[in-house]
Amino acid sequence: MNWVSTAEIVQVIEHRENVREYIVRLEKERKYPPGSFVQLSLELVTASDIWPESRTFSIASFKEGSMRLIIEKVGSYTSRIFDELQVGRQCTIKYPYGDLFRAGTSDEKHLFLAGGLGITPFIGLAEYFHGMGKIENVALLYSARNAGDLIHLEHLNNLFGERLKIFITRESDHQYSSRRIDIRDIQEQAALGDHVYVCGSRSFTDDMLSILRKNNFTNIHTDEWD
Amino acid sequence: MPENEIRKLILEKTKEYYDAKYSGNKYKEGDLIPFAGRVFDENELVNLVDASLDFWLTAGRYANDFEYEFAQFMDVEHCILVNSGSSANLVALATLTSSQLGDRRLKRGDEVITVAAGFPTTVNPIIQNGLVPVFVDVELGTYNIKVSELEKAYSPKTKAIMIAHTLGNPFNLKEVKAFAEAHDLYLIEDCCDAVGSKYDGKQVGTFGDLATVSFYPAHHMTMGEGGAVLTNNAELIKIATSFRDWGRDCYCAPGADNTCGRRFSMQYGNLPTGYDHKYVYSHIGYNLKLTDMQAAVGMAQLEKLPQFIQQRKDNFQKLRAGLDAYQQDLLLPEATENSDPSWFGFPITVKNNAAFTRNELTRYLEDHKVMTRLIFAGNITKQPAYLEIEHRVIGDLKNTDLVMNNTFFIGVYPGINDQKISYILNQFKDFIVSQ
Repeated sequence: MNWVSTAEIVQVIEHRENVREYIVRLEKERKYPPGSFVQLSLELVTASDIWPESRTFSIASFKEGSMRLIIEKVGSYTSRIFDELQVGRQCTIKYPYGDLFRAGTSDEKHLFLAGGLGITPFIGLAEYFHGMGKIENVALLYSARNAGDLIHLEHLNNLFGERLKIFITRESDHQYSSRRIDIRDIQEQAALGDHVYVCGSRSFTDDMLSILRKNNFTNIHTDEWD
Repeated sequence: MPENEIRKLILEKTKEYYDAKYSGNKYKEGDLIPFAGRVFDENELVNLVDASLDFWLTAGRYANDFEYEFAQFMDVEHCILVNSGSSANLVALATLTSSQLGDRRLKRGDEVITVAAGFPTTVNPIIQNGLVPVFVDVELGTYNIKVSELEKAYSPKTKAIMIAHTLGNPFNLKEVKAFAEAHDLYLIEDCCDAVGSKYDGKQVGTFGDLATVSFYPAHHMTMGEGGAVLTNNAELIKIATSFRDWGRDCYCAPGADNTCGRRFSMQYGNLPTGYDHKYVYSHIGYNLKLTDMQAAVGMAQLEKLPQFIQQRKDNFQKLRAGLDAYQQDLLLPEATENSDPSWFGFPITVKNNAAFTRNELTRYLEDHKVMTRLIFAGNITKQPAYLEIEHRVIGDLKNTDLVMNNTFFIGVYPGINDQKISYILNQFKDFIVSQ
């Protein structure tokens, strides 16, 4: 089931020049599966209107009362979002969509592979596992170009502890592994039957899928966009 | 005048129209007492007109809200609206044939356990999908499946159970569910006549893999035509939605494109990569959607549903008490153990040793303006359309035949008030005393 709801912007966090986090409060707040995504439109419409131009964003939270969306300014529509979505402004959200995560598997082992802003659905999923008391079943390999690109690091550290490994690909950083994620990193955290999730840029996703398939991982789940 | 003010005016006038047209209709003795019917006030009319002014026509904002609110009421995760309870049964059964279920899918020739004393469209989807119905007898009094016969009905081809909670009386969910689990069978609960019924304190429709509901005017609440498929299984609801919506793989709502974000980049079947996802079909589906005008009526009815359910229970108890004296001739209904039925009707079986027949009694009641109904198809294996279907029968369906010959039901719907109950009971008394 999917619902159309008016959403009010209650807070905007600027992570960096082109990346903002919007915390929204939904008029029709309803349960949704962790790892879902939404369609966001700047127009105010109902489910009885032609759905206007919109963009798709993963939900970066799994808590009642509000929803977090992390948005990168990459084109004209996201520029409009940056210009127009101020605190107090309303937009329309249609949700939930996606089948990244299948309920009923929380007792199994899960590995999240995040590239850049591909971290967003994993934040919501991690909050879900934490809420279930099953966060020890999950590990996260988080890759970003620069250390400054890492988002919600303290929150992720608190959730994952030792099961969070960070990779920086475009600069040397003594705190983290300054290289790409490779098969040894994956095999340290996941056995062949475990669930492995990939979310990131097209090239990150393709690289990870290639590595996983070459090494006989079969329970692979992706969150991909055109 | 601005558009929203015109709309407000129209809706105010609609309320006035309701008052003028409907609010003065009062029952007087001798008027027909239907077994069921619409019970509504100005809110249904206002919602209906409101939705029509949207002129969205297909499922829209009211359907969107209804699916959520009704799922909450039924205590399930997922609800999709369809255009009838029969369509809900078709979608639910077809869902289990999806290749996306792998080895667990129902395949042509597989068997589905059901009963013959029921409504045809509980059975029809089984036949329409090339499956074989296996008919088990029913118990008298509850009119539900005789659970002691379940093991006899099982064969290596058995893959599912699809049965209704007869006239709102839950079937023995404890035994049926245990049997389904022991043999790894799917269970579809047909709740078309049982919205609000509870078993072991839980809503019916929450025990099986899928459940179905009807919103036809005779039912617990109405949209005119309408129904719903319910489940707690995210995979099954996605497949059910596909079967409802032409069999398409795409899950965009009406009027939306590229919800998945991969409309032109994926490869399906033997289609070329990037073939428009809107026109990719993963099932041999139907179009069984309803309109937003139906859902709009449903939203107003949903507000009244708890009260409707209570009135049905109260009317049942009043009839039960009033007919208690005639148990020598009449077999009166019994709620299934551990259940709290939200009755659809009040079933009565005329005993074989009674001084009169079922048909003599129902003819008298009908002549005196008390509407009666049979338990639908009676013994469905004897209906003309079913004489040549492939099926199996367990035992001799003795009770099912008795239901066909001796059983009928009268109404308990919220439109029946104490005055009508009193009149109905008087008709029974007059008839039985005269025998």
